[in-house]
Amino acid sequence: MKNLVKKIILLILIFIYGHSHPHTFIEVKPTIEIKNEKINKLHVKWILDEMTSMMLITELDEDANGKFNKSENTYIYKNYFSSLENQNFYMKILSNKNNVSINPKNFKASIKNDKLIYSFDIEQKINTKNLKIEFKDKDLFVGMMLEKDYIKLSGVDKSKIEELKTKIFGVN
Amino acid sequence: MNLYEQFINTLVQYQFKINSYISSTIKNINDENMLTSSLLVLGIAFLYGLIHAAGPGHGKALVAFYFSTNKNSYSQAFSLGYLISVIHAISALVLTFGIFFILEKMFRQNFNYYSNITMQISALMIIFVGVYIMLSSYFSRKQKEKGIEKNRSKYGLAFSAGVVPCPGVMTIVLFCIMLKKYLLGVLAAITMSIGMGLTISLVGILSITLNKKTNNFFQNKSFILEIFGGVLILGLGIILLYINTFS
Repeated sequence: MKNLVKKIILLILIFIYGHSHPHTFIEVKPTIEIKNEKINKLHVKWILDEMTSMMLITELDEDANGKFNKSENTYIYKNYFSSLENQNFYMKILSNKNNVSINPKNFKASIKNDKLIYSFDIEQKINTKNLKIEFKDKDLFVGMMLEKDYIKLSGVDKSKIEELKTKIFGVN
Repeated sequence: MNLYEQFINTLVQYQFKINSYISSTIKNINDENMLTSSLLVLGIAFLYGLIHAAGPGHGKALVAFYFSTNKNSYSQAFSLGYLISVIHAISALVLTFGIFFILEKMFRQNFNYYSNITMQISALMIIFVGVYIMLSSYFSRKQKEKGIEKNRSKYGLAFSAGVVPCPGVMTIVLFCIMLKKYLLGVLAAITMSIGMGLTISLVGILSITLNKKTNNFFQNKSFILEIFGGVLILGLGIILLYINTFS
């Protein structure tokens, strides 16, 4: 009986913890520049999966010319991107154990190889002490895909780049 | 990263690879490779369904609760698993074709809107099934019509869990519609659902095995366990309704 109750509680936790699962996948390509032990520049590029891209491009590229003009870009920002603030833009930055609030600038939507691309900058000068950067949708509706090769890191000793990528982004 | 997170992460990685493979294969279908590529897409869609349903959602918790607390055979686990996946596929096909051809544009926004409505309907139905199981288990604890009532709650459960269309299936169907490969879209939805049905059925079988081990304890008082199952299903329905209404 105890065993049954334990397993049922586990099932409830699983159900509550993740009631959803990814249907959209985003490849995350961050470029990070470090200067004087602070992040001087953090540029993030999201590449949406082909199926989701096609669905969104059909809707958002109103003149169907294969690129987004200024008004289309503004529309995407207002209606699709800025609302992701509630999900903290699928990012979590910890600097010296303190949570850093995300404030993306220079948002740009584009199309390349039939894929929808969002790019933006995080301009805050974040201290790199105990820096941890995570890309994750806590609701698990979007799968954020990050590989070590996707990360570009500069401003540090070249021999330490690979080690820092693992340390900061938790990738192997 | 704990064990559960690692498991989910691995599932996400596989799904990403399969998703990319399906989309590139569908895009590259031409007159020469039509048959082999289409069969390949259907095979991968089956695998995708199998892995996709292993992640959270798809009524697995409901199936697990139901079979953990009701006396059933393994074949009933398969019939419930497949009933859910069939309703899942029909719901996804109707909604995708409906939104695309009737409402024509703003698929994404309409999709989110209707998806939320179906979630709320599903949650209300799950609450109803939970209450029904509790009441019927209590009032029919001694009598013979139990078999019929059990089937009713099973169908109710299958419909409640299946009516929420799977966005994964919808995405593939929509992708095929946009590329004007309508038949492939329908077939991919069916094969993906067969894969999902298998995973959901396996959860049911595991729960029945678990239930058999605890049967000795309850012997003639199995209705207590059934009522407990009803309470759990009711609880899940309330959580789902809350999530889809207030958050």
